Amino acid sequence: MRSALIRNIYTVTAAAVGLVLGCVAALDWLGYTVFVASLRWWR
Amino acid sequence: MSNFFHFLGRFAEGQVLGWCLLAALAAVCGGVLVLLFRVVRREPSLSAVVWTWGMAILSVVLAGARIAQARQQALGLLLKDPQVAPWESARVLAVSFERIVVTQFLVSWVLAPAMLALLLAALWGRPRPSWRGLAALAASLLLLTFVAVHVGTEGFAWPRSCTGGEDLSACLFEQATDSVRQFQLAARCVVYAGALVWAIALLSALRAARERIVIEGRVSLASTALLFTGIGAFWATRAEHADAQHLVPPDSPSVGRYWIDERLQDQLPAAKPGCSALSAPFIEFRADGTFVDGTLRGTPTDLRTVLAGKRELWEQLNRNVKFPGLVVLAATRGARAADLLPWLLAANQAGYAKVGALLRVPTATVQTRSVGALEFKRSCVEVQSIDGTLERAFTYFETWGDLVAAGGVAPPPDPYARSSERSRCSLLSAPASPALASLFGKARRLHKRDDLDALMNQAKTGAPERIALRVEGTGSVSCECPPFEIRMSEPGEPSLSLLAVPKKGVANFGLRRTLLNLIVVGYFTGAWIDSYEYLHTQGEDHPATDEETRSSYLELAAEFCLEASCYSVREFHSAADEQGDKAARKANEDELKRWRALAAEDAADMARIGIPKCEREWLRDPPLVDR
Repeated sequence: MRSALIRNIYTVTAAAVGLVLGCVAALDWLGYTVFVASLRWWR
Repeated sequence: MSNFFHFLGRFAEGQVLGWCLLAALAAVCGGVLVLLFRVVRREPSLSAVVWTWGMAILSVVLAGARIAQARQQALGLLLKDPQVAPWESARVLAVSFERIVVTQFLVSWVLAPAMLALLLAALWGRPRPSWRGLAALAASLLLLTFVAVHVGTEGFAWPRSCTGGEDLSACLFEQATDSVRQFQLAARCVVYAGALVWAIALLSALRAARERIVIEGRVSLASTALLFTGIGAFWATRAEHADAQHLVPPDSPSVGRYWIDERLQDQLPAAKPGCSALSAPFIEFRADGTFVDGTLRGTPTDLRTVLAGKRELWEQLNRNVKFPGLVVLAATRGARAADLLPWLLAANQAGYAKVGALLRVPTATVQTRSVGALEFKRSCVEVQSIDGTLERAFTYFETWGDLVAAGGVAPPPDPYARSSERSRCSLLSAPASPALASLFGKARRLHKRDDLDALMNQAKTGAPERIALRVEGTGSVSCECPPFEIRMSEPGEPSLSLLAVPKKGVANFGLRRTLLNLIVVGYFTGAWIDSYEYLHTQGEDHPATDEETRSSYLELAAEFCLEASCYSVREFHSAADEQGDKAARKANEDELKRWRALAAEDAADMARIGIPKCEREWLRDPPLVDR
């Protein structure tokens, strides 16, 4: 019971954290295009 | 339909990567259709889920590669000195940015419904229970992300909403900041949604554990891989995140970037308040020649021809608008102003009534995390009318930097400007003969101005002539003049002033105007000096002056190296009519007494500083100088 509990919690939490971090990273990476564009107009 | 294929063709742009991405997106669409079909039919849908997932991930990877490639191309053009023509560079940049935006747009539009279908399949389909939670979690988060990307892409349309306005750069900056804010907001929504889904999934996992259902080992392994991938991706994008928070700010309207020679840019005069960013023909004074708008022009005449042509073209294109008549000079601080003047006059002759000085704004450095320090070299233009004042400034100031610093206005002519030469007394060797003592008996006056000129010219050759000269103190003369005058023996010849610079150890009577006559022995040096220069030789560089000496100190006098001297008291005779009234005679007598007393005081001063009285025979009328 305990090992099932630990594994289930770990699996769900790791997946959630990994996915959220990955999605946030993807958005940050995409938002960087705006910075590159700001270089275009003012550099 | 043809529009659809045209759009696809434009999207792929003939790139292998573009076509691959399109194929992957098509595969996602196919997977979604099969998945929905299976879900509706209540058939096992795991293979369709895996296919759709796999193709979706492949699409994301291909889209990421395409965006990264286009962004790298843009960065390469922006950060390095462009080797291509500006218009070509602008075209490539436009293509790169469009590719990024279109890719984000299409991928998010295809993947968002796909993820929605996956979510439905996870919730209502029949995958194994242990997969269900994870599939729902992944699909819902990715769905949210794709929606966020789409929102960000929509917000990215700011260049189109900022056209034509006066504060274009300010508008662009505001829109860009808004766009970044949208991405931030989307990230925050992803985090909240993730937390919500995690809470639900956690409850489900706890319930499963209570029923002794253990999530499969492969699923745990996949979660671990997802965790590390997420941490890695998050860590790898911190630099991008930080830079997106600090967009490069727009230039202020008073400064601009001018495409001039890099070395010249660094040596421009410093900017001053009030200068602004203006557009006009540029005359660059580089080390390798004079360039107008980047093209070498050999002479001011060439410049005049070119500028006249530019003016005519401008007037043809802008009928009914007054020609601004501005031309901008870009020259180094140390450039000689006199060298620039002919070019300025040529521009003026070509119809340009105003000149702008290109000035250097202090270089601003923006520190970025992804591309290092960026230096922003900016300039601005200070405008002046081409008129007599400016032309005088070009001849008055030595360098372009001095002229610009003074605002193109030369100071008014100084009424107290000095024109003295430097003293030559210490530079000349004293003549070896005749002996000093022997000369007092031969003391003479100069006959006329030519005699003095001859002595001065002789001194200039380095071989001065030692003479004994009779000079008169100017104490009784109403003038602003040096203390002694050389009175010529020939009638009608003007008197000239003398400043005697004593040799070492010789008694010095200074600048005091006395009522004495002197015999000075020494030699002319050939220099015309003023009293300031005399005082400089005596170690006094900042003499106090009053209303009288301010002018008299500027009077030029022939410099005389004094080796010895003697004085005699001037005799004063009554000029009053013996037959005049008694009161007048009395006043005259009193005046004579006063002069004599003053002369006696001067004589006492001379005696005190060690100057002897002249022998009577030295003062007889001298023979005329034979020259």
